[in-house]
Amino acid sequence: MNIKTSAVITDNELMLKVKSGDIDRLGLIFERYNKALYGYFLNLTGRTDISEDLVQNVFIRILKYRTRYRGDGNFSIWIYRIAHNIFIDYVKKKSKLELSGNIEEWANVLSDSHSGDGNSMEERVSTLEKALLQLPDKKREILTLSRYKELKYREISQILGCSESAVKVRIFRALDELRKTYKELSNN
Amino acid sequence: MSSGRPIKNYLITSKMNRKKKIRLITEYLLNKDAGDKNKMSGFLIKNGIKEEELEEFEKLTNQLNELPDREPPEKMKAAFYSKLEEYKSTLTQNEPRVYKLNILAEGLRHPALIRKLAYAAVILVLAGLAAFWYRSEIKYKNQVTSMISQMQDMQKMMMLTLLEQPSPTDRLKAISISNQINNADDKIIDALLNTLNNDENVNVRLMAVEALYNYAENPKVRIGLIRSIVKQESPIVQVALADVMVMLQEKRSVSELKKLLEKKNIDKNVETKLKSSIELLI
Repeated sequence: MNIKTSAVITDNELMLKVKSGDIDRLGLIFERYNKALYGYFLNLTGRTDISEDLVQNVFIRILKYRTRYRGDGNFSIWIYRIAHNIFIDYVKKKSKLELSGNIEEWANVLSDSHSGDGNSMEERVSTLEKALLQLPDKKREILTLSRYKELKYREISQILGCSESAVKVRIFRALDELRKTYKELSNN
Repeated sequence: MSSGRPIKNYLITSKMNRKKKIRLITEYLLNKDAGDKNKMSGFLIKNGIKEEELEEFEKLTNQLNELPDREPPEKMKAAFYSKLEEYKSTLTQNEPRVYKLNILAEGLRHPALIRKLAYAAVILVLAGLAAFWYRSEIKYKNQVTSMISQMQDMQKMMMLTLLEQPSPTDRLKAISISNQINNADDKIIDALLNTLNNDENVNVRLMAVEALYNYAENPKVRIGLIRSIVKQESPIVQVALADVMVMLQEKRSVSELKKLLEKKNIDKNVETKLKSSIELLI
């Protein structure tokens, strides 16, 4: 979320303008959210091309349903809920086998981008990214939401449609599995 | 990551079930307050959580927070703006049109841009060939720096060309490109200020305010933003500028904000906003 610009005009105000037909305002919303959404999808799919398409799908869906926007809640939750639903639809369409293939491909990309420099910090980052990719989709998603977007438990629970306490338990389980996988990969 | 609730809520019992422990560890990991964290870790260790395990979680959470964000490719932005324009045209024409795939396709509509891009492409190819011949690391690095600089020049050129186009979508794209330029020179700043003061489209002017805010450390930008206050007729841009002045704590803007208040046709909401901004600045 772009904290610097959000005070100039709020996301809600912009979206209400889009709703009333001032479509160009969606450009400002895109500027504020495209990087975060791209990172979100890249973490989940491991594919740059698919992440680009899924970001476009978010904004196409916003245009499609713009007249339903009420503007009485947190815009971030609204847009991430759309992103979450788009990811769920994407997973339904693709077979598990293909997803695993994507992840291997992405792991290779990561390995290439970090290899050979002898920098231990970069090696740790690379190992951690690989460990993240080995997590099941749901665990990877909850860590992505809690890490990147500075969303609170309540907001994450609204995006994922579960209780706050369930969010805490799920974050812990994801971290626990990540810790074990990271340890294994570091020792190899 | 999110910050947790106050520690006092959790000092409830020494016998915790597994779920409660899990929730407390998560709260501990996501809490940013050092005092709270100390109390919580002591409490957790006393209740059977291993210190090393807690440290491992802590380290992992910190590493997760430090993972680098990856930049989306430029063509994603170009594709978005193309689709946006297509959508707008379907609203008025009600006829299906094929989406343009990238900014190159978009640029083909502007011969001046093609010419400039062709020059830039030639420069890039030459720079690439030169890099091939200079194999030593230092020379190679210099070439990379030079290529990056030329890419930036290309971005600047593209931005300035698009800013002159009649379509508001093109001009929005131009301002979007300006956000990626690290070192905006006087030419870019002047173009943005000129857009802010003269563009007929309110969305373009609004986006120019946001783009200029990113360069607010530049004194020329600050003065330009202040001078632009009285020139604006649109309430939404007037409010945006007032907000920017407050964010920058730009006290020199008070007299301009007061001048705007004196205008006869000032919007009531803007009037309230200006008064509160002036109060915050004085």
